[in-house]
Amino acid sequence: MNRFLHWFSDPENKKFTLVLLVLFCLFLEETIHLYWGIEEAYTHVFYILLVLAAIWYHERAVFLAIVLGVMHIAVSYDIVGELTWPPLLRAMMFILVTAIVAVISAKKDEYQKELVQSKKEIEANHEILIAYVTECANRLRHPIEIVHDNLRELERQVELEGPPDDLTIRLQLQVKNTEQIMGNLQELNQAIVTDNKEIPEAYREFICR
Amino acid sequence: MNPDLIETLTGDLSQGKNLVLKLSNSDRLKQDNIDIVKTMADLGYHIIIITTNQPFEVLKKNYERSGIDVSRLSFIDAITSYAIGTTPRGIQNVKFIGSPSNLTDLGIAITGVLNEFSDNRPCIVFDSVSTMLIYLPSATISKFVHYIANKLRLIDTPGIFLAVGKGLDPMMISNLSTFMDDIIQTDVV
Repeated sequence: MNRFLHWFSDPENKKFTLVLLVLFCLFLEETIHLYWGIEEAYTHVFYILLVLAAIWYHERAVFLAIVLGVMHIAVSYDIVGELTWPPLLRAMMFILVTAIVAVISAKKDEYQKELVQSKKEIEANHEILIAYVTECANRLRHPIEIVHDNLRELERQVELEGPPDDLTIRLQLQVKNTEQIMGNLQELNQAIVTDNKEIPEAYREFICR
Repeated sequence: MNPDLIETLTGDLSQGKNLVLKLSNSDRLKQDNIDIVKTMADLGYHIIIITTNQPFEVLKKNYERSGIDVSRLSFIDAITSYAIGTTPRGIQNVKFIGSPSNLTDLGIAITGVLNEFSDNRPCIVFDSVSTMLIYLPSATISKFVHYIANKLRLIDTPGIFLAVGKGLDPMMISNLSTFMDDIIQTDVV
């Protein structure tokens, strides 16, 4: 039973559910109202259709409420031969209830959409932050370790064997590497300043200096 | 010598696993480079060493000290010209690249040297992927390694890529592992 109800209330199957309910309401209107002449109670079933339509289709469900209301009034007119207040009030209630549910549902969906969008933005920013931190580690921490290890090795070699023939080129290489690391730092700073408009101008200028 | 490394490497090559990423500790990288070059030389390969870490002169001395026949070696040196600002001339079996970040020239040089030694069982030793991070973003390095790995795979040539294990982020290792046949990390702590 639960699975049955779940299937019908699933938004994926909303068109099928609504068509089925519309047909059922038409059937009730024709048999109970027009055929048996009972004009009370059965109209409560209409609210199931109207509330679901309002939840799924928001303001557009009001047109369905108007159609059902007009149909209800027309059948009453056909039976009684004159316009009476009860069917008019019922039709107005159809429209009013549908409109209220439609507005609340539209607002709820809008908030939900905003919430999903904001969650996506937070996740995207988080990913950017992780990528930035990782790239910082890749292009700053590890290169500094390389330069440090190379200089440490050179230091050991000088201590043990004296200055090697290629001392100059090895030192030149480390100087170049440190220049490149400073360039990397500048590049990463530039990236963070470009992506974060909320950083004040003075700090932007300072970070990129 | 690291017997685990040599055993794993020869085992990989005998199983047709030609593309290998060797992750080392930073203090073991130099010795692993020597061990790998020695092993490949003993297996009869002509070794093309692509260096972005140490100038070829430094590597050559290390190899000579370790008893490796340097006539079986060719170098693509992307660091000497970058460090001293000029390109040394008249040095045989060495191709100089202006900067490790110049991947176009590096790619052309690799293709040229592979063609030159195509009859001598060439193999490539790349020292090192992690040092490239000084010069290029990790994504660019991954793409370049992918390009080289594909090139080597097409001509059925071994390629050993050295890197400091701690220096690569997990995503980059994961990317690189998709291009490689094996990852050796015998001593990474």
